[in-house]
Amino acid sequence: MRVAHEQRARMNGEVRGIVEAHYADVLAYCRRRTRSREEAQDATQEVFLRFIRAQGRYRDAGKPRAYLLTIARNVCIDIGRAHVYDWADLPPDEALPDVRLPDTEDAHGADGLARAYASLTHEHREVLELRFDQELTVTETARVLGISRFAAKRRIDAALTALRAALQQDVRDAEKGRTT
Amino acid sequence: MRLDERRAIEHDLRMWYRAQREEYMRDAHAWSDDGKDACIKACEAELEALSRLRAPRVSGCVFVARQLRFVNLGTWVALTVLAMAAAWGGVIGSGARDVAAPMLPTLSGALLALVFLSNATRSKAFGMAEIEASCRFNAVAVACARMLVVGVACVAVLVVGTCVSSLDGGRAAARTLMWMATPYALACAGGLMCARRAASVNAQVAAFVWAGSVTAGSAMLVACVPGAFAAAAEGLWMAACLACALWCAVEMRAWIRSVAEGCADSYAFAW
Repeated sequence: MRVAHEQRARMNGEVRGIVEAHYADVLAYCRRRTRSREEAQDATQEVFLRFIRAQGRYRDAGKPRAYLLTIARNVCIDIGRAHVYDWADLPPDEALPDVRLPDTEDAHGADGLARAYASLTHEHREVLELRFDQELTVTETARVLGISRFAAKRRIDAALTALRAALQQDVRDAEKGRTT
Repeated sequence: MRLDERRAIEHDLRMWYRAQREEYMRDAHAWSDDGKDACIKACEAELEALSRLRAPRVSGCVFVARQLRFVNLGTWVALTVLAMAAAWGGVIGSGARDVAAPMLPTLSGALLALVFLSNATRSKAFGMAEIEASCRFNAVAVACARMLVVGVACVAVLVVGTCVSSLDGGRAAARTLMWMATPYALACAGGLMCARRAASVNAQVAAFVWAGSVTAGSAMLVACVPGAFAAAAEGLWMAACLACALWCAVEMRAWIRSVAEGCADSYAFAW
């Protein structure tokens, strides 16, 4: 923890390091919530500019990722409002590419996982992304979403349960397709 | 969901996200690097622009005076009541003929600390965020200024009690001052210590509990050990008063240091 005036001096020397360390994370988060990569890039730059402007209020020592993602969430909501779209309605499979997942343990595979993931609500997708893609702790996830730690834990559990149900449904559908 | 099922899904999800991210970054490498460089340049330009901004020039006295508006009305009412109580205590305590004469000065001293602590510790629950968010000055300067404003008002109340009792001679004034200042300093020092060590929302309650205990202890001392207020114990009172004042100074310094760190423990806990 540092007070504002010390933080300001520290920021001057560390801005490059912070951008280099977290640019990819913020860009990936913004890409899933914007319509194009150019828009994602603009949003990412805006996130870091807002981070610098809000440095007096920044209080995490050494771990700015959760704070940056909180700003990123607000920036993406602002961009959505400005361009009259809701990022919750953006198709989840268009933002990032399809991938192969060779060591998937279950029968569903990467395609099944992608289909199951796409069937989740945007709240569930967001909480899973923060927890398992951005690797935030439950407390940090709660901070980004602006909810309590317990609510975040409940939402993660609910998202995993919904994902499992969707995966099982996907496997059942695939088996039915094979038999017919 | 069974634990092994949950772990398998979490593992698959992590692998899927990682693969997706790697694929995406491979595709986006060239334009992502350009974007990163542009972002660094924009951030450095923003920092330079921010560094050119100067905080408004405010002299120390004006800055302290401006903190008056952050002291709530209840504090001023309480201080006025305590000033009257201290004055009355000075009148009846100056002669020290009555056994219960020290009651009013000691109680008003301890209660005065309660008023001080309610103002000094009120931002602790928010990790001092309220102070830094409310103005352009750092938390240490604001906390010091607010403590100074309320502290000076409390000292003024002590002076009122002392001045009234001085009508009966300098020695009576010194005695009344010690009766008031000792519980005041003891309650302030202990209250700040408790508030500093307690976590977040419990800080102010901890300070109040300490100050309340000192108040109750003072009342019991007057009621049960009237000999402690005899003329023979004046040396003891002076030593106690000096020791408490010293402890109070040490605790105030520690409090300001904890404010400088943003009340780290409480803030981390609150998140």
